[in-house]
Amino acid sequence: MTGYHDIGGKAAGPMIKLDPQPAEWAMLSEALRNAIQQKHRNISLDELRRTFETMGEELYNSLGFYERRVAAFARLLDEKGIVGLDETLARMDAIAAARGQRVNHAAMNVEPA
Amino acid sequence: MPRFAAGDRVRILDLPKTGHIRVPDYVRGAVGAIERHCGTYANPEELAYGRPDPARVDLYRVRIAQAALWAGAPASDELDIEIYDHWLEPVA
Amino acid sequence: MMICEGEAGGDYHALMTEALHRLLLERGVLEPADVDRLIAQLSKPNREWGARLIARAWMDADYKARLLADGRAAGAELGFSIKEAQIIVLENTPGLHNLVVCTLCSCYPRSLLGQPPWWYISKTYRARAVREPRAVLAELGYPLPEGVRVRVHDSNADMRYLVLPMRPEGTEAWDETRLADCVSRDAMVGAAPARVIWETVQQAASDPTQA
Repeated sequence: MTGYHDIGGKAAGPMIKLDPQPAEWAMLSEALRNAIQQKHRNISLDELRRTFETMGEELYNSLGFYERRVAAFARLLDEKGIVGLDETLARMDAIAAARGQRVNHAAMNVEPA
Repeated sequence: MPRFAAGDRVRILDLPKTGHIRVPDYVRGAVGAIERHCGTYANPEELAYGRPDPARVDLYRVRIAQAALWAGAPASDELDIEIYDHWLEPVA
Repeated sequence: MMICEGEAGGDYHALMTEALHRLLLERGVLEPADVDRLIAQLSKPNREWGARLIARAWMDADYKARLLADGRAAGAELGFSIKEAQIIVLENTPGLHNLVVCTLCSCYPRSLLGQPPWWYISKTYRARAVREPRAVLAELGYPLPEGVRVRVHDSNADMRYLVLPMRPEGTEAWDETRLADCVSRDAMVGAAPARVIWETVQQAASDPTQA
């Protein structure tokens, strides 16, 4: 059993032929990860894949593609001791607070304070 | 020397391996033919855990009749997929 | 159980990216120049790069043979430095239609074409393309005629794929640039035919040197 990400052949709804441009933050997250890979060679795409394949079916099912990538990236950085996940979450709180916002980490929402 | 040559009949194994596996469930147990030897690459099953000096494994493309995978699939159709050597066994 | 697409968490993950960006710079893991370089690097490859390989193959039979034998080397001939291990080029013919999908994640020749189309990385496509390619193609607006064989390629390991679509009718006198305009990203995964682009036809109509 390969995992919850192994969906080839499963039933799914109709094809929706949309092709929105990735958001700027999505491209930034790809750039950050690729930059670390190239500069330090201490993270790999295989490790990233393994991370989103094991971070939980709930997350995998509810998040969009780039959301999953950055969620996995944050977890991988924590695993490697490069940036702790708790530090990342705390920084999110700080950035939000400075904008009069509040982060609901459980619901993965940013709300007005 | 790769174990298989183009045209060889093979079965994709259903190994009880856990971890980062690149063999989807839908092809496990399927019989097909080697389409080509793709080269030798670091085993992603090991790369995924950052292990130093990962084993290098032969990668093949295997061609499978869609009718062998899905009931009612057109007899003319095929599915090509990339499978590492240790997931393959020869079929007579 | 139906596969659900899931599109939640945009704002939250945008904020997460911002937090990671700041932390990585503060820690000295990355310099601003590293990030800028990667943003530029990731945004350069695009449809046109792949389309040029296709157009050249349509115009030059020897190049086409080299492209079909080794996509990466053929790309390098035209100045494209492809980072993936290999590009396997799949020729569509009236009798055989190739379609590419990555069922496990989103493998795609990014160093040639850039980021993949959203629908290509959708769970719906990843789930259904291997099992019912004809229905999926019809829903994408490309119903196949009767009698065409379909070969689906699951891009699940080190190879990456580029579909060489059939050259549109009536383009025999066209130059490489106009031919390349016919080749969409969708066509290069087998999800659309190469199409004559109306603007290109209008330009030709006003250009007496093009028949």
